[in-house]
Amino acid sequence: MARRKSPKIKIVNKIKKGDVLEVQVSQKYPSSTGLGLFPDSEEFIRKEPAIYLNKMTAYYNGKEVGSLDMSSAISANPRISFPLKVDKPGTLKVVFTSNEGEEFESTKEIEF
Amino acid sequence: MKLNRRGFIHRVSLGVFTVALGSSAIPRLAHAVALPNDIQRAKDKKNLAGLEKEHTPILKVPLVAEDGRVVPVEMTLDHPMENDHYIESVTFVVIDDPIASKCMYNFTPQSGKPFLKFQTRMDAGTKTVSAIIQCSKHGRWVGDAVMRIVGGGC
Repeated sequence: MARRKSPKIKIVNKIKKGDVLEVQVSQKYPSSTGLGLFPDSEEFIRKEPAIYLNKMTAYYNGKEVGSLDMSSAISANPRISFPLKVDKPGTLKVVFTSNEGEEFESTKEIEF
Repeated sequence: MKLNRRGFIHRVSLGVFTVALGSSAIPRLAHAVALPNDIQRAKDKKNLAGLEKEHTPILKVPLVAEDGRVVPVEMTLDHPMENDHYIESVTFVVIDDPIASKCMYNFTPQSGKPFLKFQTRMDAGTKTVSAIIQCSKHGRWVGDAVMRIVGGGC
């Protein structure tokens, strides 16, 4: 299996104490629904197992601050933006898991 | 099996998810899915009143998306995020899509503001994207937006 890179974390707006940050996270991952069209129809059937990222969890200073449960309908190489209110400096950690048990994580220091 | 409140909400919200994805053992995917009937909806979207203002998710999607593999979806809501009153989750569903349930974000009071952006796959055609929020005090509410997908992405 090819080695995959860790997620990229970007803070979209300016970091100020007490503000709600827009955290943008992207992860390279070639997901697939595994669906295909039923012959001579417009109905979908499962042709192969789905491969996708099924969970993203965000932690700030070790505490879970949000999580996203995903189906295989989320696009490949997903880019997700979520909110985070920061009152003190700390470490933001984001962890992605795939339905095949892979895990990818990155951290970013938040400073004022 | 015991379920806590969040676990229960998660299961109910993703009921359509189970119907659509649990069908992998049968050849055709189920399309006959529906939103749970206890969800509250604004009576007049252009004239929101009372609790409707704080609980009707605002969805930003393109009117037309050429590529169904990467359809951008954005949800915002003006609602307090306090320890005893906050938006617990938002679930995104496209009822008549081959994979009806897209994702579910679990907020915490530290989220500060309920919003989320992501890209999803959708089949071609005219689609209604629904965002179902769960408020810790006022139950479930839905907001939706209609769009057209030109090239299917499933």
